[in-house]
Amino acid sequence: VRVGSLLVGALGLTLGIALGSAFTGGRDAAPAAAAPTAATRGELTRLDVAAVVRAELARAPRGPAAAVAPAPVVDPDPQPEVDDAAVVAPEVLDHAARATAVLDQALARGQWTDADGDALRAQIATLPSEQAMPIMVRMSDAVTRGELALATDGMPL
Amino acid sequence: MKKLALCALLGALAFTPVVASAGLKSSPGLVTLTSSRFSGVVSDARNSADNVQYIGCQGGGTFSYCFARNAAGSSVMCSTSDAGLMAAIRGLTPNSKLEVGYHTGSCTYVWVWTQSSLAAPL
Repeated sequence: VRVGSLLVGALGLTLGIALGSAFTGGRDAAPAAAAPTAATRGELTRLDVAAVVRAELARAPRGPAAAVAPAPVVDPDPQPEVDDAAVVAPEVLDHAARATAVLDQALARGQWTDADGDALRAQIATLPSEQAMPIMVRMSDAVTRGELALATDGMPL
Repeated sequence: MKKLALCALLGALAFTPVVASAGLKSSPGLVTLTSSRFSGVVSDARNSADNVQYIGCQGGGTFSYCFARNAAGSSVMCSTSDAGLMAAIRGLTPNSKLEVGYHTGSCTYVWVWTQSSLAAPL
């Protein structure tokens, strides 16, 4: 009986050691199987990125309409823009009107005198080119066409 | 004595037109006008003895104009506010030859030659 008990005890001890070794090996193997991967470290794998892209593409609208820009917002009550450069001072308009009158009177007479030149120069010398040029071009063309006979000593102005 | 005086007078009269002609230099075409341009030497036109021919440009800060009158009395005038043309006009001197293009009262181009050979004789 004693020998039998010893054999049973040895067998149980061997079995216990074997089982313990098996469980211990399982725990040892677990870290290898669960070795830190990219996923477990919180980073995205290529598969993750592909999945996200697929999901986004699936959600995006399809067809040419997707490329059309949104319609502009229409102001229901547009206000006219004021261009400060286009505003002409009253004195400029006055000089331009006087210069035009000098030319008109000379054209009516068909003659351009030194007095006309002096009068026109007094009005037109201060004008911006936007106001002066139409008058000067009109006078120049009239001289060239012979509609204004020059009675000046030298230059017309 | 009378014969000598007469010869001197005739001699003086004979040379007078030659001297005047050399001073005038008012050959036809001193100022030339066409339907699209006019040209001439500023000093020659100024010094012309016919008191008719004239060519030149004037202007202020915002515009300039050019004017020419030929020996026949025909006049041409054009105006410009173009900065480039006005710069060329400012370069005019009494020794300049000037050519100006024009169309319906506007100057289309200004060409200036300035050289000593164009200077008027003293």
